[in-house]
Amino acid sequence: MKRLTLIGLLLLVTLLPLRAQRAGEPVRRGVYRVEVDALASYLRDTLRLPVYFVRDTADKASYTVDAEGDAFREKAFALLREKGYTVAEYDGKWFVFRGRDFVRTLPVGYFENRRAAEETAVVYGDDAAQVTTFQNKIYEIGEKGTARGGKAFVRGTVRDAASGEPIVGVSVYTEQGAYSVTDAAGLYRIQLPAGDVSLSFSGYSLEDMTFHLKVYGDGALDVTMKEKVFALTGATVTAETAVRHRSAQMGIETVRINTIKKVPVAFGEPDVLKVVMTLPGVKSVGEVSNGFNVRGGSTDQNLILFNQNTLYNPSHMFGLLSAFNSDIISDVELYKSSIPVEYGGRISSVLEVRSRDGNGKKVTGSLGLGLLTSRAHLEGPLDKEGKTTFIVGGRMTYSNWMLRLLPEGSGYHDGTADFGDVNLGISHRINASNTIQASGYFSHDRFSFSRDTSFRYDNLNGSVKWRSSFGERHSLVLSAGYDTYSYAITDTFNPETSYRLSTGIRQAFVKPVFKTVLSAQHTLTYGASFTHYDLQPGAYLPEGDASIVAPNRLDRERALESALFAGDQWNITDAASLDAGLRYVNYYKYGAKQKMYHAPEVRISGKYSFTDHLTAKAGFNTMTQFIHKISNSVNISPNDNWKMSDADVLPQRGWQAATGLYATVAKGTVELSAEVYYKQVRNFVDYKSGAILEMNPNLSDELVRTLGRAWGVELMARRNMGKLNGWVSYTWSRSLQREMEDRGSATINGGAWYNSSYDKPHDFKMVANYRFTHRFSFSANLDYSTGRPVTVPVGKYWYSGSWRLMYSDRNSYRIPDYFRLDLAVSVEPSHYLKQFAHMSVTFGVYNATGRHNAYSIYYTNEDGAIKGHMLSVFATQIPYINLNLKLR
Amino acid sequence: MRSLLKSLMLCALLFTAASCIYDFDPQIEGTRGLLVIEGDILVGDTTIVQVSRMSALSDDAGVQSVKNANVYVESSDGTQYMAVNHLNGSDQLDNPHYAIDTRTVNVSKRCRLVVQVYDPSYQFYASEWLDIQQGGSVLDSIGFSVNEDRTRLDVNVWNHGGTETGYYRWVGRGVWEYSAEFRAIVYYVPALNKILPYENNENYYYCWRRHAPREIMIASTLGLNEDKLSEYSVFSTENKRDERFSILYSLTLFQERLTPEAYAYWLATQRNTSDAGGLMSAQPSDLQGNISNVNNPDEKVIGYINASTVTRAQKYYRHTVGKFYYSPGNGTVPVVLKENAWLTYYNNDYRPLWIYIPPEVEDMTGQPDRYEWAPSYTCDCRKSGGNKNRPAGWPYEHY
Repeated sequence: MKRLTLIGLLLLVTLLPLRAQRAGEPVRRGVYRVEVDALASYLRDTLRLPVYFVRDTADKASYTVDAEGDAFREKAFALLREKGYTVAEYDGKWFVFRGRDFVRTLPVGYFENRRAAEETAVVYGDDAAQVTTFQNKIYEIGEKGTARGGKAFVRGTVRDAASGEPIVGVSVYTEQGAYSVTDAAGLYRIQLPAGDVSLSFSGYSLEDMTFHLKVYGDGALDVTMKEKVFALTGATVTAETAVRHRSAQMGIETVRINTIKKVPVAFGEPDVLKVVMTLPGVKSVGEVSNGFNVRGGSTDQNLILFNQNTLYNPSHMFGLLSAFNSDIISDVELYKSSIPVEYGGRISSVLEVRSRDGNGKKVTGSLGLGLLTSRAHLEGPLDKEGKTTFIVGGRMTYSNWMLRLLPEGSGYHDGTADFGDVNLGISHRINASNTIQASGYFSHDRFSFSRDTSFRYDNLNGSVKWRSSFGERHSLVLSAGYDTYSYAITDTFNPETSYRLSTGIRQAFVKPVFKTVLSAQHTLTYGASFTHYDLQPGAYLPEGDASIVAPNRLDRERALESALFAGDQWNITDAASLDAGLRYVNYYKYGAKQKMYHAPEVRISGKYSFTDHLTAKAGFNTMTQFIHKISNSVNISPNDNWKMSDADVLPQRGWQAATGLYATVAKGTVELSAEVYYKQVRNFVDYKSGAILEMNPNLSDELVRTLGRAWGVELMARRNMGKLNGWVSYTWSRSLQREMEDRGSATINGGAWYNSSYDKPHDFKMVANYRFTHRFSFSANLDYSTGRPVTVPVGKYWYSGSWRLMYSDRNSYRIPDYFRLDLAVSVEPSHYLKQFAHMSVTFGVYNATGRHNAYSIYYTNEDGAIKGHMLSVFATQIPYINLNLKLR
Repeated sequence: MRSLLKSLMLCALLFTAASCIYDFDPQIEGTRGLLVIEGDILVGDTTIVQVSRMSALSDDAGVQSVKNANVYVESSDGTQYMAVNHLNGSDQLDNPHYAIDTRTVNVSKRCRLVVQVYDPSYQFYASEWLDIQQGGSVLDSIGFSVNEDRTRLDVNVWNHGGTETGYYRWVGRGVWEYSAEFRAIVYYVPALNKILPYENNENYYYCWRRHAPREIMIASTLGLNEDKLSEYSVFSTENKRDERFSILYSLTLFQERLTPEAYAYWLATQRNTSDAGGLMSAQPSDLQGNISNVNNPDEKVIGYINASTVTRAQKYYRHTVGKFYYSPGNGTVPVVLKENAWLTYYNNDYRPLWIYIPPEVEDMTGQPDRYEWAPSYTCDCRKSGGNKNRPAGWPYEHY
């Protein structure tokens, strides 16, 4: 501290102009009564002594020096010393200041220590980057004279200062309009003018940073950013806000994990998918569902990517919980309108869930205890430099144990219901330009409510991703992996007919994606993707020695889906930009019913910013889908089977047009958006009445092709920072289907348009978090929607000894409207930064009003009378407590 | 702390598990009047046909039988097998029905079911021409099994000998004996205001009912190595108050072979009835039958007719063996009435049970002026829908 003070004083002395003060009256020749600054002026101006002086304004004393020449100097310095000044000589110069020691040499190793602390290494070119942590210095980028046309490209990685993890979604920009945003690996690339440039970095819940650069040519600048110390009264324009106005893409929703953890959910387990369902345009058929519906699409029309792997069943316990462990998740991005050109294969949306890299600086972890599950994770570096990191997480449930606690007569006592999942991620930074990541995921679910019938399903995914930057303008992300999903039901009730019915998917993929920054106006994304599908539509096998079940395996379905794609992000002006892309898809189903399909897909979206806070966008997308989920259950179906397009089952083809207006108000703290869309899908899969879907070699005979159309308006207000944050959204939308062929009286609803099963016109959602203090916060989640369509009985008839039901036209009635309010209070007992562990507790109530929301309605024959019943999954308040322990 | 945590978790689960099904009235008026025709042609046995009309969900009037129809099975060789109209039921079924002797139908010819309805206007309905399904396995026997903790009862079948695997349905005819809650040993004569004892075996304690089992019994052997089923559960119940199993139940099953289309129809009917609305249920289906109005094909008619040769088996279920049934009664406490109150209570649908014997009285001859009375539904088994039509050769000495 003393050293710093000294340096500061020296700087002051050097930089401040020394002003001469008014001299006093002469006492006699050579003898003066003057104030101290006049004395110093005399020494400097008259005697020509190089004196540097810091005036003490409190010093009002007068000095009289009666001497000549050198004696005057000595006498004057002696007087000053008597009055408490320090007078020191260094390198032929005299320094006069009050009350400080003068240190002539810096401590041994001062600069080495400082360099280590700041991790500063100024290296020009591609091999390494400057790592910036301090804003009050000037960073030199590139070699002098190498800038082409007065422009240069700067690239780098943004990492978290505490953990060393790359940070996604950080806006990198200049006041002159240059803009970039970090990708999933924390990488950015931006074109800057040569010369002095202020480059700013802004990220969600991170301290904003601005660096002063001298740009000579292409170069690298890595940045570490710190988590923002939460300002209860402050407000900041967030990175998302900047992205919204800068990017031409629309219909993108980003949710950070710390937001996910605040939203109250059933049993207190932070749940990625449940939070996704609170976003506008995203709906589900109920609390327990195997997926979500985006803008009127079916659940299988969403591509769910966990890192780069495809998850075919993203839920545990048939949809009660999602398959993602919140401890290892970084963020979630949902594309529901402008789907980037590198993604394809699904009609409605892409949900990208990204896990974190491990902490690069120290081993740390967390532990969470909930009512249904426990979870833990560990992460850290595998080498001293933190170039290789790992993160591993796992969850398990104790619902089995809970079922055992229930009374024997409850019907659940003999049941089993358990699940678990494991995540593993390893990241290795080869050098500043190359990173390789490997990730793996395994989950299993097992369910049984009787001793002789059990269900199980498993996800197993693994992938490797290599990121490379070559030159300042080019980068490559090459990913490859393998995904499997399997389902099995085992029935051993009758030894002779005991069986095991299983289905499964295996999928291998390779996907190189290149990015080239052509200029400040054009950024190209191009590449290819290859996905090989290998489906087992059904295997029906004997279970046990006594079984006479004949082994039966349906023919495997194999297909290759290839795509070439290219897109340009064109910044026409500061206000206008255009994203345009083309994706050519080729699909070949080989084996039985072989068929080749191909389709060009268009992705185009543009924006115009009227001001920095008001932007209009519009977009148009076409999509093709070759793999279809076969499930005749509206709600949940653990035995989801999948079917490839072939000669009989045509690919689903869809397009969507959308436009929107985005505004930022209240000093940038509140985002407002309004989006309107219309979409249409051909060959939307639906089912004939009474369709038999299991082990059916002629499955296509049970399917019907429908034309789907959906339209809607989504309004949203969002506040990401401040004491009160969250979002409110209202969606009005419709989703309809109509059978494309005329099958006479068997045609669904006579060939008229009918409501899709997830058509819920009115949808109001609110997610709010209020932070009273740094320790206490309150969260609320409110959900209202129109009841979903159902097919209900409209008459009864006596048949085969009982009353049977005749049903209405498909989906012509609705269940009662849905309303739910969840509340939670989070308490964080301590904020000591150096404490070994940090514990937080969340108390909450799911469905606080106890409303009996209808999940489905059904009818029973009770003593000859048909009675209607309503099934409510969470029919009362569900209190919960969740303990989280985070190791530091 | 541990016990608190356990309690919290248990509460959460119990709340979830216990409070989730509620009565629901969708306020749907519904559809009435569609013609419903049921009756697979059982070649080699008696075909029973029921003709009725569909009711609205809220209707309480029972089955709307069509009683004056002309029903017959027509063979492609020109032979017509006419039905006998049982307006008030028969030894086969309590419901009105039509019985057709189809023992001699030519199995090598196609056949169809014809129903001519005269009310409100003449209409001619006929099924498609049907190939008679043959070559299926032989029904060897049926049986009843109750699990160890007596929470589930299964009806099982054994068959063998089919030439190739296929689809099966079992048409059932059941007759069962049941009893009222109280056995009255006296009866009241209002004209005389007297109570008299029943003579001989006269009683309204034991009754019989005849109905087809309400369960849809179907199976497929397509996935098996041979066309054979052993101890295959064609239906099960966990309803311990199922009246059929209270005393003695005689079940006769007729095994027929189904076409794939017929199997799909019955499977969809089964799903629509028993699975609809559950967490994992398939969407309910609008069923397309194979019977239509010949003169007006656009008229929607409910029913699917299958024709097959049949084999049959019969089995008794005895409660004294299975001990599955359990009913704690409905908690009725008889009232003690003196003579002056008898007529009033009689008019309020009460019936005398027996002479009242006060606890302190040791003379078991009782007090003839006071009798215990109870609502008639507790002591007259006919009130539950049965009758005193005791089947011939009924093994129990109950009358």
